[in-house]
Amino acid sequence: MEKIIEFKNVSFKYSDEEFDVINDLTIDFYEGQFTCVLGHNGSGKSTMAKLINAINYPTSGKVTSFGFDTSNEENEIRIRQNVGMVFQNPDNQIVATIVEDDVAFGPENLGVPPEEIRKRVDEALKIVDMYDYRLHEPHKLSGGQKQRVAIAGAIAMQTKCIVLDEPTAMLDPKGRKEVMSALMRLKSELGMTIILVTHFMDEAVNADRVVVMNDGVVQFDGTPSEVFSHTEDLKKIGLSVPKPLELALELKKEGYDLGTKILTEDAFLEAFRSLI
Amino acid sequence: MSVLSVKNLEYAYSKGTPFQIGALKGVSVDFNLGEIVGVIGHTGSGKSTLLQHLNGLLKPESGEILFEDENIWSSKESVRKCRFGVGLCFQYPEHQLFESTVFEDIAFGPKNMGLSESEIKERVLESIKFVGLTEDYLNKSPFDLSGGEKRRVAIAGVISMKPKVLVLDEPTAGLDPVGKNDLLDLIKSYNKTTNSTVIFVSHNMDDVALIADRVLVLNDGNIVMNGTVPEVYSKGSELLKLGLDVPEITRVFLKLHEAGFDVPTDVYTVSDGKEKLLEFLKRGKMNG
Repeated sequence: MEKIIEFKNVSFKYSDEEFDVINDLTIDFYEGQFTCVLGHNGSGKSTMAKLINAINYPTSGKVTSFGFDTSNEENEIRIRQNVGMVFQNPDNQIVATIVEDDVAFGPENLGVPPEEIRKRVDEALKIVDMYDYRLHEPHKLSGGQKQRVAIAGAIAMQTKCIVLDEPTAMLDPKGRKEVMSALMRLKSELGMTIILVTHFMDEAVNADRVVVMNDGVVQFDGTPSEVFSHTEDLKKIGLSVPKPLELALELKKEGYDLGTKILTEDAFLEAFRSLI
Repeated sequence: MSVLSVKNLEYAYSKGTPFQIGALKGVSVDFNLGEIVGVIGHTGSGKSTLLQHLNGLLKPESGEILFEDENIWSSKESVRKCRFGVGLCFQYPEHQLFESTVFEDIAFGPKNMGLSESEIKERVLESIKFVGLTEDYLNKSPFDLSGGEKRRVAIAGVISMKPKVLVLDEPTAGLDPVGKNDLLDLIKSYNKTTNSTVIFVSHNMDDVALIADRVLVLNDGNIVMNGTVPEVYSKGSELLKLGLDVPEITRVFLKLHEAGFDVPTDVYTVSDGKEKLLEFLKRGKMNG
C-alpha cells in the first residue's frame, strides 16, 4: 500500500502551554486504509488529526501529506484538496442555506465547471444517502444528517483522504449508525482513505487498523483484535474494550476460553458455539 | 414521595405558523425524592423541551409543573424557588463557563441566592470537592482547564445551589470511557449522599443501565415507556423501532437467544452477563 501521510519525529505544543501535546511522533498512514485513532481526552488525538491537513503545523519534525510538507504555507491548498476534514459539532461546518449548495461550496472554490459540480454533488449526496434531502435547509436536519452533508462536501472536492474528528460524539444512536455506514461505503465504493478519531470502541471494530494515542505518543498500533487484546493496559490509559470482548475475557478468568478476537456479538456467538 | 410533577404538559414550537411542531403532547410524570431517572429518546423526541420546562425556562402552553406540590408558575416567588430548587445543567455545560476564576464561576449561583460571603465560600469548597477537583483549581481561569475538568466545574456550579432536583442533559457526551465512568459515579454519589433527585438525558443505554433507578422513553412528544431498567430494556425490539439502541451486552444475549441458546435477554452489564453465562454453562454440564 502506498504511504500518503508521513509524520517524522513530530512534536507540537499550543503556544500558551508548557508541554508538548504531540511528543516526537513518527507514524505513517496508507492509501485506502480505514484507520481508527483512539485515546482519552487530552491524549493528543485531535491535535494529530489537525496536523494532517495543515490546520496545525509541527513545532518540530515534519508532516508530509500527499507529498507536500504541511509547514510550507504555499502547500496548504493542495493539501486540503487531498485531505478533507469533518469536525465534531455538526452545526459548526455548514455554510449554505440549501443542502446541495453546501456540498457544492468546495468544488466551486476550486473552480470546477458547473456541469461537473452538478455531477459531483449528486454523486456525493447519493453515497452518503442524503440525495433525497438535496433541496432541504441544513438547519432543519438531524445531527446525523448534517454530518453526512459535511462528509458529502469533502467527497465532492474529490479528496483522497477524509479525516473525521469525533464526528459522532454529539449524535444519537441512529445518527451514529448512519454516519458509520456512510463511512463504510466511502471505503468500499470509493476506496477512500479514512482516518476516524473517536471515543467509541465499537466504531473501531470494523477498522483495518487501530492506533491508540496516549500522552502525545502512539501506545498501540495494529489490527483491532491485536490492539484490543491489551485490555488491562487500555483500561489504565482511560479506554475500554468492546463489551463482547470484555465479557469473553471475564469468562476466560473462569476457565472458559473464547479467544481474544471477540469484537462483535456475531464473533461472540461463533466462539460460544464452538465452546459448547 | 413526589418532589416534581409534570401534569398534561403540552408545548409547541413556532405556534400559530404553518411550521408549528408539537414538541410535547400531553406529558404527565412524577419524579420522586432520591431517585435517579434516565430519560431516553431519539433526537427530536421532546427530551430537551421537557427538561427546559422542569425549572421554568419554558412556560407550558397547557398543563402544569409542580415543584414540592406548588405550581411553579403560580407566582414570581414560586418560579424563583423552582430555579434554585431544580438545578439544570445543559449539554456541553463547559461552554457556559464565563467568570475569570473557577471560584467565581461556581459562586455565581449561590451569590444570586443571596447567601452570605462565608456561606458562599463554604458551598464552593464543598462543590469543588464533590466533583473530584482540589482547591488548587479555585484560582485558575476556567478556560485553562481540560474539557473534562471544565465539565466538572460547570456541574459544581449547579450543585453549589444544593438543588433538590439535579437535571443533566447528556452529562457524559464527548467524554472518554474513564471520564464517563467517573462522572456517572459522581452523579450516583451526589444522589446517595444528598438524597436529591437526579434526572438525566442520555443517548447511551449503557450509562442509563449503570445508574438509573427508572427510565422514561420519549417518542414524538409522548412518554411511551416508564419503568425500571429491566422493564424497559426487556422491550429490545420496540426500542430499536423507536430509533434507540439496546446496551452492547444485551445485543450479545439477544444474538445467543436467537441462535437457540436458552439464555435470558434482560442482561445489561458485563458482570451480570458473566454470571448468566456461567449459570448456563454449568447447567449444560449437569445435563450433559
